[in-house]
Amino acid sequence: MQTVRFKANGHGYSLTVEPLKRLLDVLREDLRLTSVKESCGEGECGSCTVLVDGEPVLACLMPVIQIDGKEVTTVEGLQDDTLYHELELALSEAGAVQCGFCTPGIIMNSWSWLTGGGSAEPDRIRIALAGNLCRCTGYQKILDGVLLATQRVNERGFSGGQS
Amino acid sequence: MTKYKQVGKNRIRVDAREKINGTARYLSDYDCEGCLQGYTVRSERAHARINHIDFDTAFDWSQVTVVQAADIPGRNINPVIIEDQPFLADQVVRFHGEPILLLAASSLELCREAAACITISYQDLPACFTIEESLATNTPFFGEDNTFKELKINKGDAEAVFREDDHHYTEGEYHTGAQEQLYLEPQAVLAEYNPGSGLLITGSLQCPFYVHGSLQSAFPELADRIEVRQSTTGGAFGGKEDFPSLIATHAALLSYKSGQPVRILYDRGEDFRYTTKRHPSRSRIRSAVDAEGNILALDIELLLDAGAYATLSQVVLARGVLHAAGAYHVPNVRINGRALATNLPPSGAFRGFGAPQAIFAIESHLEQIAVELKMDPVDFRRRNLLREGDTFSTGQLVKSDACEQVFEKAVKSTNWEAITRENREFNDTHSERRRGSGLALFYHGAGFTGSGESVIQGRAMLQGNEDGSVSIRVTSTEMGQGAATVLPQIVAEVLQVSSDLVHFETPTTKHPDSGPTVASRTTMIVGRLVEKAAREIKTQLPAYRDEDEFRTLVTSAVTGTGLEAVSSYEPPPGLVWDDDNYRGDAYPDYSWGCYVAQVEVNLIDYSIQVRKFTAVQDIGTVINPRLAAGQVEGGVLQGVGFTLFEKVHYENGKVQNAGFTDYIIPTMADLPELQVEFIEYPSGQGGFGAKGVGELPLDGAGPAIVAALRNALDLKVTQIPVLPEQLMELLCKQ
Repeated sequence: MQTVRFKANGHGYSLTVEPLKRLLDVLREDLRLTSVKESCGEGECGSCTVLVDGEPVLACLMPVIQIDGKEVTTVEGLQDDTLYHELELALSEAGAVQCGFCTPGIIMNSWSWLTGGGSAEPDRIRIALAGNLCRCTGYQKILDGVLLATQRVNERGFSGGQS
Repeated sequence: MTKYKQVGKNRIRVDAREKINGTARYLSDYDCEGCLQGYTVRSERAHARINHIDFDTAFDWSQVTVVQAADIPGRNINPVIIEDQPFLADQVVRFHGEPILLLAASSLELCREAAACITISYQDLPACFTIEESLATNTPFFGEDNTFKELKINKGDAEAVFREDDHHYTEGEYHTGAQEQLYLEPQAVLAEYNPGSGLLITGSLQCPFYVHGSLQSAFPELADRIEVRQSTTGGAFGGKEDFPSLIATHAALLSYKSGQPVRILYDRGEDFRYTTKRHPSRSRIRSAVDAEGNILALDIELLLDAGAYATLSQVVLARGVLHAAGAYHVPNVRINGRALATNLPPSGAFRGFGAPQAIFAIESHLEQIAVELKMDPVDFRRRNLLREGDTFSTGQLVKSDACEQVFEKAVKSTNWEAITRENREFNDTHSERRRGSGLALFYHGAGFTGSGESVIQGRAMLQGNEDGSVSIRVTSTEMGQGAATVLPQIVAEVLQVSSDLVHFETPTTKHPDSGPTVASRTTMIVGRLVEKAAREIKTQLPAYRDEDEFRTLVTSAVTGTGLEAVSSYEPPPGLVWDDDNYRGDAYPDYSWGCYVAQVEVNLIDYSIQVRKFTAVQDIGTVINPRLAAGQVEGGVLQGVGFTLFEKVHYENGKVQNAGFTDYIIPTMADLPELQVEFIEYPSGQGGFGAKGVGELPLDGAGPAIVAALRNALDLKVTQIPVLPEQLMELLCKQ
């Protein structure tokens, strides 16, 4: 057991845990942040995508010890964020959600794309989101939604932040 | 669709927000303090007699609940159709991974420790793993010849045509592989047994009453105290049609014995290895075509690999044979279908349900005939396609020109002749890449096969609420396809109120049974049921001018005598089905599709890219165009996977690639430029004229892509999936 100190969605935590416990399990079980989904558990599907110090990572592949001193963000932590709300609106309007199990992971990766100054080019979005598997939508409407959000954000000149 | 206010509108999904912000609760998200975790001990052999089960006495078994076949209070039979599958293997195992014992403990780790202290000794029996091996075996394990079901269709006299010698005859053999549904949320169920109140099951599932039926088999003394509720379901595609019955019963057995709630969550590997998949198939087709290019006769044999137990194979086979002759007018047809037992994990329902296999075969065969006759495959199809007044292989009358319309629209909107020319020019100027285009024409029977809808007798309930809203109470489930959004649109249209005033209540077996959520039947059949119930509600209310007045009337009705309507399925007059001879009206109605794929093959690494894909279909009235397009796009990409990526590797009946790492499904990078178009031929049998959309898209993608490969490479591909390594092999042989 080891003590790991980190921030998650703005709150500070100090947990005494097995250092190799998956970040995924810490978030879901210890912190009850259940937007983070496990679908494959081997780093292939992107359903457990979270941000660590602003960078998207797969929580199923990361031992919790690696977030010592860092900050984790999940969809729960974006609820007051302007860019998140652009994404929520655009993905809803585009019809990008079906079963929803892959959706929070796609939101995290798309948010990272938007805050990284992503351009409204479908071919670049396709590559940026190629690590998030979806079995329902065929991806077209996810692409439409992220493209729409990117266009709106670029037009209005938002940047990430609390609304 | 201007005549409607709710129907035909792109209503935003009712569950979009909670799924995006992560508050939608799937079963694994439930706070399960005090729950035991369930675990399955499985067969390590593909076919064997169980000699002995040894429990290591050094282990403290008091911490673990163990369930064996002998602990089942009722019958150890999962009643699907043929009653051959036990909940837990007793004496004999028929596939690698078959459940033998169940364990429950406070943690999964403890279950695994316990499982490591159990030794099962076996005596191996002869096993077969392919259709060919099942046919050849002299030690069948089901019936006399391993046949779960055989079905025959006869129209005209095909044999007489084949005895004539002045036609063009073509023979071909076609194979399709297993395919995993790969819903992103693995199987998940929670069982809560309480001696007083009975048994409550909550799970990720398509068909609450299927689960209910299995539980009644295992727990006859609880029969009237069982409730099955659906939790938010992260995809299903048929994979949660019959399988949840098995694990819900497993969880229930553990809860019954331990007296505590028990949750079973499969991880991806377990889900991939041991749950049902699409039936592998082998089709042999013989055809006779006259000098002008008219198809005179078809002789088709369709064999399905059902795996170790029958599950739904007989109805999958039914849909297979009923789609085997394709969307063409053929006066003489003979079809023989068989579902065969092998020692693979049982095959089951997967979107398309036998049709994608059969349609791949007939469409590929048509391409072959066209090549042999030196006819353009488009002209050949145009000559033979089903027109109004023609008959299907069962003799059912074709009642519209939808087939011709989707075909002509696809040819026109892709500009078929121009793309063919462009491909040729591209190929002339590129030495390392080849482009081609291919087309597939097909239909999908909407609703249950044959007399299925009359047998199910679906019912739907509408109830007024005190706040002036209305609730839909059915057992049709939302699994991502959009039922919870679309059914309220239908009700709201009848009531002339906003769709937001109509709630879709979480399906449970406490609701009237509207039937299983399968067979592309929900918007059509259940849509019609809720439409009827809404009309009944309307007659119970005085006339109203607007929504405010409606709400006031609903509230006063609810607080007074109540406001409720239950509708029942009534078979439409004139539908006749002969189940013994497979003659007559096989489906209440049909959806039609014509798909065009444009592919590019890289001759250096043999990678295949679907560049553009055009999907034209008639699904009757489109209730929500955006959601309908989403169904088509999702189905097409699953079809791309079925054709080009998804190959299940077995070794002695054991899956070797049980996960996303080496079983590849399409990603966003594989998304072609996708065009979806609808033509609307409203059906007299569906909610506001809707027909089925869910399965149709998976039928057409495979044959269109393979036709495009043939066009690009002048290569005959008769087996899917065709991965780059298979393509390399085929091209090297050429």
